[in-house]
Amino acid sequence: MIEFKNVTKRYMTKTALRDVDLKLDKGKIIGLVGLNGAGKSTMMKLIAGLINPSKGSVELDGEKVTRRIASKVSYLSELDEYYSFYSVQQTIDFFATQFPDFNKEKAEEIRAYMNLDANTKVKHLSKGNRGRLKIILTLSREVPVLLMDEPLSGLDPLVRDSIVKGLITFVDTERQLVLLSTHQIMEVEMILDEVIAIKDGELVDHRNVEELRYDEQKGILEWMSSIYE
Amino acid sequence: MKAWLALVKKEFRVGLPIMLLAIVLFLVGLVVVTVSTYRFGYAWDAVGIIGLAWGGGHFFFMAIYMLYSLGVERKRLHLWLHNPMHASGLLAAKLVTGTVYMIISLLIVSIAAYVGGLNFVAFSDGTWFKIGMIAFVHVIALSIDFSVYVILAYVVFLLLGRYMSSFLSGTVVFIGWWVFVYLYFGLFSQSQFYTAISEWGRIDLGFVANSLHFDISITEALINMQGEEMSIYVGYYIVELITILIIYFIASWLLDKKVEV
Repeated sequence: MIEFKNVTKRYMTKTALRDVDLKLDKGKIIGLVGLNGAGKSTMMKLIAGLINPSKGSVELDGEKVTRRIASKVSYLSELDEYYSFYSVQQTIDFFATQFPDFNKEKAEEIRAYMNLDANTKVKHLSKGNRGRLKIILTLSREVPVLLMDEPLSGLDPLVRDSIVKGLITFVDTERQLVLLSTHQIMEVEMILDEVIAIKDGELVDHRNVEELRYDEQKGILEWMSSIYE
Repeated sequence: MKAWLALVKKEFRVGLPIMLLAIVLFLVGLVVVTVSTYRFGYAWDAVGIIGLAWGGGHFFFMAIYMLYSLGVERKRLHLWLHNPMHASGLLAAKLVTGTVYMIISLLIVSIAAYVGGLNFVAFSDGTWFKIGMIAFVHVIALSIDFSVYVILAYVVFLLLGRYMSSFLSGTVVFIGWWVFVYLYFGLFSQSQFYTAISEWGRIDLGFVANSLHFDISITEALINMQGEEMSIYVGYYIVELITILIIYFIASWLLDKKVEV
């Protein structure tokens, strides 16, 4: 479904990703782990078509990824800048107009589940509630690929818990691929099917979480420790 | 189309401060000149002059509007560019809303220019209306025209931001802008080739006022509009239209393919 073919991404003199070859299939929730600056966000943006590879290619269903792949990819940025003049409901309505696959009923369901007031202006939302809004906007799209860059970052445990539960509840695990980057491994470990480790721009390992658990008797954190230490 | 119209609606919200600022500044200027000239008995003349000056200043309206609106998006490029719509559609939504706002602002200013101008303009109603219409249409067209160049400059600024700091990319674009102005307006548009492709389809406009003449002494101030017999060339407008379409296409292509978040 998603294929990286020998992808390198350079920013001036810094290499963010180096010679990455990777295949990801639908129907899975995949964790992307690595230290800060390892290249996780770069990988997400490459799939979202928001940046271009310096070398190699990224394809989705055999189609070369460009910015307009947004019709098939829902991208949650690590930034939470939205149009501050909109309320939560207006932001949802605006997204619904921009993406034909946006499911407004699902958005309403997630909003109610997240307990987010529809009439609050975005500029008045707390960081936690902006995180919730991002989740609503991302999960309400019925697209093959959901990219979530640090969806749990900077949020309190209760919000993180509601977001993780929301992922289980509202993702169509048969038809959608979810790629999420996070440092909160413990909180997402139970929902991950696969995990990818990146270190200094290189893909160091790509494992099936269940196999890792049964074959090597390791949780993701132990596996990460063996890679990064 | 539905998605684009919704985008236009959003752009009206994004760009609203610029229209409000243009109108508020005009009204403040109007009040200041009216109050300060009232006791001399020139209040209406002053209203007319500020209307004409502010109306002419609308040449910059679209450029300022685009800079502001694109500046808002720069902070949330991940949101603006994460859209299946072609970049030309994203930019067109801004151009359309800016144009609507400019027309609203210019209409308000035109009323002041017309009412105030009646005090020192001795033209017949028909001539006054003709001059007003020519000025109105040209200010709008030239402002849009100018803003398309500004869009390209801004997109290049975003593009260079991948390779250098904002200050440096701003400086490079600023220098590039003046190099372009010199090459295009200083050399190309003065060439025989440009004359050959643009000076066709002559239309005589008759008498058109194009300047204000002030004759101010201690005891009185006389203001007159001056003008001359003018003509325009359809070719010039066609060449400029083709030029800005090319510029617009390049800006859209760069935004689609090269600008990164």
